[in-house]
Amino acid sequence: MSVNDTEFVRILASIMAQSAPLLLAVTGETITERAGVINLSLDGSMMFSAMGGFVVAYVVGGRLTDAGITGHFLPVMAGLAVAALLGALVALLIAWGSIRLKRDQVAIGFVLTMLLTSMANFLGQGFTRLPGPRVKHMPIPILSDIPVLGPMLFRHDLLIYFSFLVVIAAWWWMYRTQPGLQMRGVGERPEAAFVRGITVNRVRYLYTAIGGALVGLGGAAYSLDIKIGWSDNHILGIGWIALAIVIFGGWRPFRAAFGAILYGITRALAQVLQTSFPAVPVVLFNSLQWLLMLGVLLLVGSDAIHRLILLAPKWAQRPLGNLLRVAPPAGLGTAFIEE
Amino acid sequence: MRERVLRTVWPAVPIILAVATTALLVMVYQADPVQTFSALWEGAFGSPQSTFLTLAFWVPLLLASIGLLMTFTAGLWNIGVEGQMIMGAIAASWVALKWTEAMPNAPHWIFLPCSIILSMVAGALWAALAAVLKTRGGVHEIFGGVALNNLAIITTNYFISGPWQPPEGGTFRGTEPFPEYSLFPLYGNTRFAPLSLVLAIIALIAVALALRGTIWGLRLKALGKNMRASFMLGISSEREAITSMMLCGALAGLAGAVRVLSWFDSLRQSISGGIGFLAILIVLLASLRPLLVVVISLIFSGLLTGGSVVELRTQLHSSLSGIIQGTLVLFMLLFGDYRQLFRKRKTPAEEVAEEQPVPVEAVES
Amino acid sequence: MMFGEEIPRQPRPELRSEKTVLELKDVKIRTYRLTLENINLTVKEGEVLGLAGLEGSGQRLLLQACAGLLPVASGQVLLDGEPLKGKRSPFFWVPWLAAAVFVVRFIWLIVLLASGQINGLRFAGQTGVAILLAGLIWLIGTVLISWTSEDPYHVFKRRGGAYVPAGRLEEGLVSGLSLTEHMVLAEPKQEFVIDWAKARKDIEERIKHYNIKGRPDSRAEELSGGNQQRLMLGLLDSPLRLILLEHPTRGLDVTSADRIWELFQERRREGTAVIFMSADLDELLDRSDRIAVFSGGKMSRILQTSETSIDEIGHLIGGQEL
Repeated sequence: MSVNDTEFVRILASIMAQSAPLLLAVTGETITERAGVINLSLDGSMMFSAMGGFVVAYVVGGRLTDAGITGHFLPVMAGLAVAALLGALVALLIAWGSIRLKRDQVAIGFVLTMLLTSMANFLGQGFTRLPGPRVKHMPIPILSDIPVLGPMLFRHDLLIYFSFLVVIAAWWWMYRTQPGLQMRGVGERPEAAFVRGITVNRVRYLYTAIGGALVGLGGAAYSLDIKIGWSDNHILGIGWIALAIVIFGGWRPFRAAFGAILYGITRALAQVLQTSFPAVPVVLFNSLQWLLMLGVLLLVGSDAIHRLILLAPKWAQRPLGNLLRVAPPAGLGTAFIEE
Repeated sequence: MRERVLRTVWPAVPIILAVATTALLVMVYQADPVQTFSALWEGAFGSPQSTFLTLAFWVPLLLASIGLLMTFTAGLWNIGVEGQMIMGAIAASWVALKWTEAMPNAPHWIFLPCSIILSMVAGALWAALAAVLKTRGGVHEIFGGVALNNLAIITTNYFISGPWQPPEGGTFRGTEPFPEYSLFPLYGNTRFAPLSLVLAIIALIAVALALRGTIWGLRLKALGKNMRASFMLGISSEREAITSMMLCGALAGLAGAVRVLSWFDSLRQSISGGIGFLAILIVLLASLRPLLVVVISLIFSGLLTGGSVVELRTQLHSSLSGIIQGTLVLFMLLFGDYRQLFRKRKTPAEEVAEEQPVPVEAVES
Repeated sequence: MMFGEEIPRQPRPELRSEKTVLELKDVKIRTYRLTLENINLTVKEGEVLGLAGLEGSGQRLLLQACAGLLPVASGQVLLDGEPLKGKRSPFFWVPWLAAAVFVVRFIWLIVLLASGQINGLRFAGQTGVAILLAGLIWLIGTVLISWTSEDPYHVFKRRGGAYVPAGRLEEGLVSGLSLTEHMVLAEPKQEFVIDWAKARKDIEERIKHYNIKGRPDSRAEELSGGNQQRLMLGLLDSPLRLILLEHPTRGLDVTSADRIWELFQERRREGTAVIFMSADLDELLDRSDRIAVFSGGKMSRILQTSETSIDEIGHLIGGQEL
């Protein structure tokens, strides 16, 4: 039996797959927040786009089948497109409320969380527990046979590959291109960017939309791939975890991705431990993810990291400081008034 | 003159928008909006029975909202109020279940006050935890609140399915019913407990007076508006944050006790019923005004109790209530402030005029 | 304090007192951008010390360190002979108690485990309970500590110090609060229940005395910049031991600035020392008894105003010694 057939590697592969929706969501929200907008509605909007994506895919699939066209690809693409659109619209609403109407982003985001959750439950009421289209499993031929790494990275479906690519693309865009630099400037110091001639608010709208679209895709990645279908409060709570991971990630794509995978590992660990120790009450394993959230936020929020860096040798302090940076973009959450 | 009229009438606009949006949604589902809204009214206040149901649901909602008045004044987003309610409910359940068991010869009237006190302590401590996580650990109170909410729910499930499970086995539904003398005295055969309303009104008066008329309330208000300037004026943000959170937690814990000892008669899985989150919406909508909080919480309570009747009549999902509430708050948040929307900017000339100092002789006495 | 409208210009009072209000001994202040070292300073009652230099040369850091807003890396800041530091809570030991409780219980559990009296599962469970109990003690302790400890800056205020920042709406005043409410907050002996009538009277007096163009219910942000400055100064208590000011007369016209300094003369007679930073060399020369010049993160000699000139100060600021 090759190493790729072991339970361990299977679990590793499953962790990577299960992390895909979070990878999309945290990368998207990192982009949005880097441009200066907090989209606190993540829990609601992910649920809303999960529902929307599934429902659209289901309905489109039904219509196409009636017309004699089978296959899951088109319905799923339709569902994903709609989910991305919904996510972008929600994020744009928050940006608009902040930029044009000068309202508090946190307040709008929180209200939207609750509203979108209700709407998701309401509009999804006819579609609960129905079997629906799903993304097709598509292992990459030779690469998926590499020991350990193969199943982890190359034995998934297109959506999951896409999520990996999104992380890399986001990093490259943010740190290696001129527009990315502008975006970071807008989030960090809008006044300075404005003086340099950048249309601050238009940039904010653009990246908010992109980030929101990715968040929407993340939501649909659950209902169309990882946790197929729809039910009441289908993915409740995952949006908050995504927001915490963005903070943990220090608003950097790779670190955020690391956080998403860390979360996946915690979940898998909880499941494995639970089956190995059935005598331990279930509560302990359920609480692991929330304790992890608190632990991770404590780590970046308190002075702990700062003090740890000071313990390191002098030459290592600067690079470590950059690597473990935890400060949010200075212009986050503010409304920039273009005179 | 016309502007003044527009300004007073303007708040009706978000309400109309919210109602219209809901009606639209209802029609999409081929239900009759008129029938839906009348079912809503009937379920809320249509009969004495439903009115008392609305009142019974209203009291814990009001308590939680009063508590949130304090934390919002201080500029804090106490999302953890839901978890504070739950911990209060757990503490009250502990007294009602285990103390009554352990002290069968104690006078019956003693258990309710103990439940009340303990639930307030539990809620306050759970809130203190979120506050300390923020002040010492740099964990934003929103995340602390969300994590602690979930941990509170998990704790509830632990007790229900474990140490406190009913004799017939843990089924995740609830503990066995508490002895009647440990509950709030109920009015007739409704779920409404007049004593709980009295407590809520006392809390309302106390908090409203404290916020308006004490130095503590003013400090909170300053803190909420400008943390740095407040510090420079001598206010300790850590102390006030912790205190206001604990007081809010105490009221939320009391709300939890009211839930578990009057609305229910045992500890259930969904003991808090989303009341905490709803209270946040209410206080946002009321712009922190105590009287408005009373009115809006009553309306929202009606929307929820009415919503279950709507579900019966029209087969529409009960989350419709949540949609009405959410759209109302959203539209009010976005479009509700007339002055903000249509404020005219000061002209440069007006700005300059303000800078001129008044000559000494012209100052009026 | 007198409550007249016209305050005749008084000559600068002679310094009678030799009593030291503020002393800095070998103070070193370190921030990311700047390190100020070997600061030795003594300020007497009624003295006015001016800090000169370009923005960002360290004057503000010094002011903040004197007020306890910035911790010093080494050295001592003494206010009226007593070191300036925060008040430690009498409950500081509670977190240690929590840790001790946990450690003791944990060791006890290990002993039980090793001797076979409990199994692994019970050990884990009891350890969890011990963690929760220790956590509860720690939580209560932290709450008690937060209620009974005091930040160095607040101790500074309690001991008769005052700090007037340059950022009026960012740091000095609270947007959204009325002048009366500011009066209540600034009152050092404020009762728990607010006497609004008295507060209103108090602020009306200050409005008159400091010539603030605003009403008791005007909100801070509705005032013009100059009036905000007058308000901040008007809210100061008296008597004070030490007033620290970032740019005291910024935004004020000459008449108002004169008036403010006349009011400061009153305070000097009461024994209040004043340290201020300013970009206006004339103001520094006119108003201070001594001037400390900051240049490139270093504090130069402290000059007697009567023995120096604008030229000399200007050169020192530029980094040149005459």
